[in-house]
Amino acid sequence: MKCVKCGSNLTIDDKFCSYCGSANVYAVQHRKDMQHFREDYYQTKRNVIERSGRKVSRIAKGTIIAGLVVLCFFILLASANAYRISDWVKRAELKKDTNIHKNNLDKLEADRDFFGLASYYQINELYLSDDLREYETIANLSYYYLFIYDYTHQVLNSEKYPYMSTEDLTEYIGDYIKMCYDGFEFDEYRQEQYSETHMAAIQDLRDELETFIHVYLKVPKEDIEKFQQLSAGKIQLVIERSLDDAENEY
Amino acid sequence: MMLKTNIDKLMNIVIVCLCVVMLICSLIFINMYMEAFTDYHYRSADDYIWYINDKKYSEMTIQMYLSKHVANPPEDLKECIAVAEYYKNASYYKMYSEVGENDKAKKYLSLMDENRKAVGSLSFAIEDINEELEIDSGKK
Repeated sequence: MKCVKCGSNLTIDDKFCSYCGSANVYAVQHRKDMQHFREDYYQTKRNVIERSGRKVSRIAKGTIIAGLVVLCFFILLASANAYRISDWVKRAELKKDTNIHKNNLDKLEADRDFFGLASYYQINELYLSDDLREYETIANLSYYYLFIYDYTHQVLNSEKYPYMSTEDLTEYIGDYIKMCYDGFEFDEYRQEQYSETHMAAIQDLRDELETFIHVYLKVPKEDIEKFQQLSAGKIQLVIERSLDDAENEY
Repeated sequence: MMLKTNIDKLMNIVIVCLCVVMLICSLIFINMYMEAFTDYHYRSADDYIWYINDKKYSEMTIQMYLSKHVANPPEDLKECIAVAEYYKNASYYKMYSEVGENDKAKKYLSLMDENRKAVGSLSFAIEDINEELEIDSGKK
């Protein structure tokens, strides 16, 4: 470029002509243009950042919403299955301690501590374990026996339990005795499922229960022998009649 | 521009709402899960004393069997458990004595002796139990 006044050569960096000292109009214009371009550039940059930032923010929020929806769905699903999940955890814990429980149950069974066995099985929720299924029958029968024991003593001490009528109690006893006799019935298939040890324990439980019914509910032994064929209602009638007879005799 | 701002606000509201829903659902799940592990089986000495006061010894015995006991029960709980066990053993002693199965009756009699030593300050319950079960206390 040349100076508009003297025509000498100038560069873009020269603010004034080194020969005549007049201002370099090209340089002034150039600085103005550069300033404008710079502002334009920064404005465009700001706009791009803002636009892309908003887009990124929306994508992030959308992802968070989608994630939360999925999370809520799974938590709802877990809540609906909370008991199943807890059972699953319990089963896993029981699996670890199977041998300990098996030994304890064997000892209780060998000692013929039927109430202890029923209580151990129930309190430790061993019914959840598939590995301890072989104890289910003896444990359930023992549990029914525990209730027969309780209700029988309530019948015999009815003055201490005014909120329970003797008829209700004998009905419960009849129901539980029926459940026990149903459990004593072993067809060939079930016999194969139980070891001789369990079968012997179940037989001893039956003998003990029949002795208990005979002594405390005053049912004659010949009537107890018929219990297997009787319904719960008929067992209740036999018990009520036996208790009446014993009271009249007394 | 207005629409864009509204969409942003709406998204924020949705996020807050979902967070609240998630929190509530989590609390429901934790509550239900913990409930499944709650121990309803424990009975304290005070629970047993209630049965002793009402002389409901058979019910006390059943409660003992349906309860989970701590590994090292305190002395007062031990005494209550001994009373409950005494009732059970005494009822079996009576049962086998009446049908003439003396070996079994003897076994329960010795268990009763052990329980009697453990009842401590609740020894008055022994007399009540013997009376209820019509057991001749002179035999022991």
